[in-house]
Amino acid sequence: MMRRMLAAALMLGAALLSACSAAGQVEGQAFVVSLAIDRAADGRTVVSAQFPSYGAQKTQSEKGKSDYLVSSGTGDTFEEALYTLGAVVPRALNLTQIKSLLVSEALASSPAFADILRTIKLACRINGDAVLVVVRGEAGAFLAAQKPLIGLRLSDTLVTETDRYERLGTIPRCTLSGAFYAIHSFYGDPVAPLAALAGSGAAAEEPQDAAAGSLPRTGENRDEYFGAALFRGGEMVGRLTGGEMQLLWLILSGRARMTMELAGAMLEVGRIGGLQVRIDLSGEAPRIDVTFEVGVENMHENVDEEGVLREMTDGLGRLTSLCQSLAVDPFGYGRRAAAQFPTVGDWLEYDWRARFARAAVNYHLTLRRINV
Amino acid sequence: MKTELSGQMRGVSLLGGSAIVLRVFSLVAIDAPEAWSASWLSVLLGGLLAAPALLPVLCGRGRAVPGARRMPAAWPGRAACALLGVMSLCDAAFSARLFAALVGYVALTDHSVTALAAPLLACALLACLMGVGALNASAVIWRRAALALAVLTALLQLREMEPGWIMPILGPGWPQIARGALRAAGLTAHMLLGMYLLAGDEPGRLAATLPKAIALCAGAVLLFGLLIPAMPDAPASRLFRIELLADSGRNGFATELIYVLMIFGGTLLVSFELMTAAAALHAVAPRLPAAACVAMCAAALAALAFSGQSGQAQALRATALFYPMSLAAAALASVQPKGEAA
Amino acid sequence: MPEKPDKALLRNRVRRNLAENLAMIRTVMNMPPNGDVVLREFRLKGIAACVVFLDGMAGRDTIDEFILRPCLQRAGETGAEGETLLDWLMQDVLEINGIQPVCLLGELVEAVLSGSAALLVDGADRALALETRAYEKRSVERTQSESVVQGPQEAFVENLKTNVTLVRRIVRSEQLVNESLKVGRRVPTQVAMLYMKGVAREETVALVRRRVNAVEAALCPGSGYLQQMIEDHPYSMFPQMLQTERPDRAAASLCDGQVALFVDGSPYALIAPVSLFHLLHASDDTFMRWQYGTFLRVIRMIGALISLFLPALYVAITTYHTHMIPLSLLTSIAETRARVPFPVIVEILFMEASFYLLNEAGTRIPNQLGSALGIVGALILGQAAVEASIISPILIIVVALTGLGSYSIPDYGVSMGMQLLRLAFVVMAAVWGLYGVCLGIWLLCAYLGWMTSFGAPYLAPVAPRRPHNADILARWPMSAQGRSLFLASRRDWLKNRTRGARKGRSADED
Repeated sequence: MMRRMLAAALMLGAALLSACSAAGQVEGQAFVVSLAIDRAADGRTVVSAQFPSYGAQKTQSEKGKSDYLVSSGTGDTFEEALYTLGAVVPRALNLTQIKSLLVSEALASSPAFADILRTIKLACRINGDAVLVVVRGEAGAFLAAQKPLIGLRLSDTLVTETDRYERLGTIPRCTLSGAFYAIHSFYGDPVAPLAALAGSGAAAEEPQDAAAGSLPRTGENRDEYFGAALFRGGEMVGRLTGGEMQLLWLILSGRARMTMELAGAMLEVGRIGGLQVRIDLSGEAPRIDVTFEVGVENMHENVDEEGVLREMTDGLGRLTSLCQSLAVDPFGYGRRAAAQFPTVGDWLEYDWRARFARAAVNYHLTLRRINV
Repeated sequence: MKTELSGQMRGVSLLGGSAIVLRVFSLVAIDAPEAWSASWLSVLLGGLLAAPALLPVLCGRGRAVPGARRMPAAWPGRAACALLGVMSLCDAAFSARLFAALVGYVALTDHSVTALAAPLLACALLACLMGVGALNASAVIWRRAALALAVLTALLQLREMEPGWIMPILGPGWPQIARGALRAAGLTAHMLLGMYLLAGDEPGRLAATLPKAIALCAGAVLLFGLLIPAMPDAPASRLFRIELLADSGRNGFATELIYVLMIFGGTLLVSFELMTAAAALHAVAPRLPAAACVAMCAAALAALAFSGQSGQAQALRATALFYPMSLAAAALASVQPKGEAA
Repeated sequence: MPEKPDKALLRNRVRRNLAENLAMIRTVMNMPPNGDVVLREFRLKGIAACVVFLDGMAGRDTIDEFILRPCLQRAGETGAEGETLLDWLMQDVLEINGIQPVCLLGELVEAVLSGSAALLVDGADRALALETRAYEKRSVERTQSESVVQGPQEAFVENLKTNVTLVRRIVRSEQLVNESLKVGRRVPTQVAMLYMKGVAREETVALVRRRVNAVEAALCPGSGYLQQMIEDHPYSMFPQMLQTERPDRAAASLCDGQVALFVDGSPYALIAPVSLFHLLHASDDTFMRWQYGTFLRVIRMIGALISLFLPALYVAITTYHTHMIPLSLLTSIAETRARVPFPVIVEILFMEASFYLLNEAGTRIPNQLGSALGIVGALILGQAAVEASIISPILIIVVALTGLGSYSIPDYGVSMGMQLLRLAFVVMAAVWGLYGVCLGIWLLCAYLGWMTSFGAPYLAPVAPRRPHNADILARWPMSAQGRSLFLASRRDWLKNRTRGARKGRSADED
């Protein structure tokens, strides 16, 4: 009896060995913070990964700060490039903690992007909550320029700054999974944040008319997140400026107030309550009536309410026309229109994208001064 | 240790009800998502179709007769138990493999599915040897913890939910909804019969368990539909569906909550099915001791689960037959041979 | 070992010849080697008599004042002999309140061994056992292991009579029954079984009585020993009886329909049947306001869960579920672990072993060396181990929290059981991660659901469900707790007659 118990105990002890391999320990893995995918000039795919390096001896002043390494791999396809990258990094690559996926604009605008996204989703154990960012220029260079300027950790920096810019309304919220769903489902199109290194584009006169890389500013942090990339069926087809993105946010979400320049004044603007969207599908082209209330706050100046409303309505109209010209629906009207159909087959037969491009969209805004 | 094969109805209904919720949810969310966003309709319809499984209760059998003795001793009862036992064993193997695949995907990527199914089956065996009372106690504790975890999971993912994703309301259409409903009905019906077999008293409570379980399951499927849109060209493979369920677009903590819910639920489910199979075997061969019935069923279950014949494809083929088998078993269990009193 | 020669003697009756009686007593009590047995012979108007007692167990003053002096002073008042003389002494002379006639030598020896004095008179075939117990015993002191902030501070002592008295002082009810039992074939030990007649279930009382009487042990050194001999599941890691040193807790349990066992020489009461929740409750939950009581109870439950699961969760998450942890924390963990040469599981087992060693040493170490233990503990578990890169700092926090959690569990048996179970969970977490932990929890719940305590389900009233007061996790106001415990036979016995009492019942329904 005792011998059996001893044998059982030894076998149990042997089972513990499965948890003892160095590669399985947390310090034996490379947790990728940010991943960048580029298309090189020769058409090959370059995958770059940024991950923290730990364990080095540090001085007292350096204690607590993390170093970050950047490695990259090149291949004919994304899988090949990822394989090469995995072969050169001295730890097992772990993508479950990734905070941002950076894709160059050139790659996002090509048909390969949808396939890459699909591969990432199906083949890699990756954090679906990572922010998908389209980078004007080289995504790898943008990745290498990322560093934790305020605070100790790059991961915190990335999460905090994207959250901050979302609240400002200048970039959309777009996760890797969200983009995948939008591309593969049948409701609408994804909108991804646009980023660039400072000065990579011509400086815009008005900040709200700028996209990433064109903001008239200087600073030690070189990465800029401003504006949005519009996708149609997995391919990037256009850009939105920061100001246009803020208008889009009014439709997408009743969020906290955004600072916008309207009728010559800097105002705190936000949607109050819900959005009433009436979609009439009886005609050849749909008719969409959108009604909502806007809250405006300005402590210092008198507000030209009519001017604000007019400018907002015009802005929304221009934004809608731009999207219609590109045949994309980032507003989510498709999701609402789908409710009028009994089955998916009927909805797909309707061909919303084509019809939306011809739709008559009318905005009915009312304005309310708040905190006066 | 004396193994009891019957227990109080209150506990058994909680155990069986939870098993129904989990099994039907895992079917429509992972293995057979053919109705897409309209899967919740499949679940509701399946619940309606499963109602005939309550026939033995409605016929008033076994008002005072506990457990396996509830089934008539003559051939109709034994045949019903044999059918029920086969369905329970097969479904337990399918479930064990499914949950092992979930574990392997989310966390233990270096382990094979077979190696991950083994501890689950061992755990179910040990729990079943302790009897229905022990399973009932676990189910009671599970219910309290699961509700809290489920609410927390839903709250954490509130921001991700899109009401528009369950439109169009009929999803791919009535044929797919009906196919899903038949599968759901088959699973629900055979588990209802299992509860009928395990309950030591008050079989009439079963009728109250069915609508609650179906409503909960439909609610869970609906919530899932709000989190993941229908994607016609996305793979319907088990692993991809597990990925969607466990991971997509959520923070790591919410992922683990879903994972923990499914693991507990999976253990509950496999234990319940194993216990049902053992009770059915005991009804067919009353001379076999209860513990021997549990052990034999566990061995058969292990053989099936490890054989590789309990993957997604086999599960889909087999579960399509569960509905007619369950109806047949229910009809047989309601038969009252001549001379035998209710 | 030679056969006990005097076993047969003990079955003899007391003889009329005093010399024969004294000879038998000398043989049975192993005199002369046995030096503390005193045979004080004297004469009552010419008739030989003797007082037999154990020096140190019987009170010499009591014997002198109330036995010898009255006998010697009043011997001349009667001409009785033999049985008649004995009766006269009992009725008219002896100034002792506890007098018991004994006929068998065995009974006489037992009485002497328990501290009574035996009076033998030549010509009488009976003896008198006189209550003269006056041995040294510990006085009632404060509780050692069940301290409370608000509430009674008395604790049980080793003396059985004192313990029963402490309970009777609280439960002044004619329904309180004190049944005397004996345990130990060779060395009998007195056991008192207390219960409330009409409140405790008859089946439970009968079961406890039957099990105590069925104990075949040679001796019963203490209550812990008895507990292990009569429990439903002696191989289980969880106790199925509550050991308490608090009279108020024992009294409350009796009023709830439970049975209390007291073993002579043991300063604890054994309460049965109990559920797991009884073992996790502390006395002062009841004495405090319901908000504090609930809060502290929740803290205690969290402590118990931390004690059981925290190391396992740490191993599981850092090995298999790194995606649960925010990357900033994960990086911190990785940085601190980068210089540690051992895997997480080895670290945890090392720290757990150190912790158990410290615990055990702290219990055994003499008071004079106690301060050294603190230094050693701090050195081993603290800075030195971290500086030497044997363990990572975060593990110290994990182990410290785990230790605090285990100390928050009121019942020592449950605390120890959880400490052992914790290792099992760590192993399962090391092999299968959270999957293993979940399977372990499922098994544990099933096991606890299967366990019983003298017939009562161990997880009642939660599973199986029984109507109960809101007193399991949260402790609702006393006015809202109108039910008796499900263990009691009479549901309405101790019903609170306040506005919180159940509707539909009259105040006189009792």
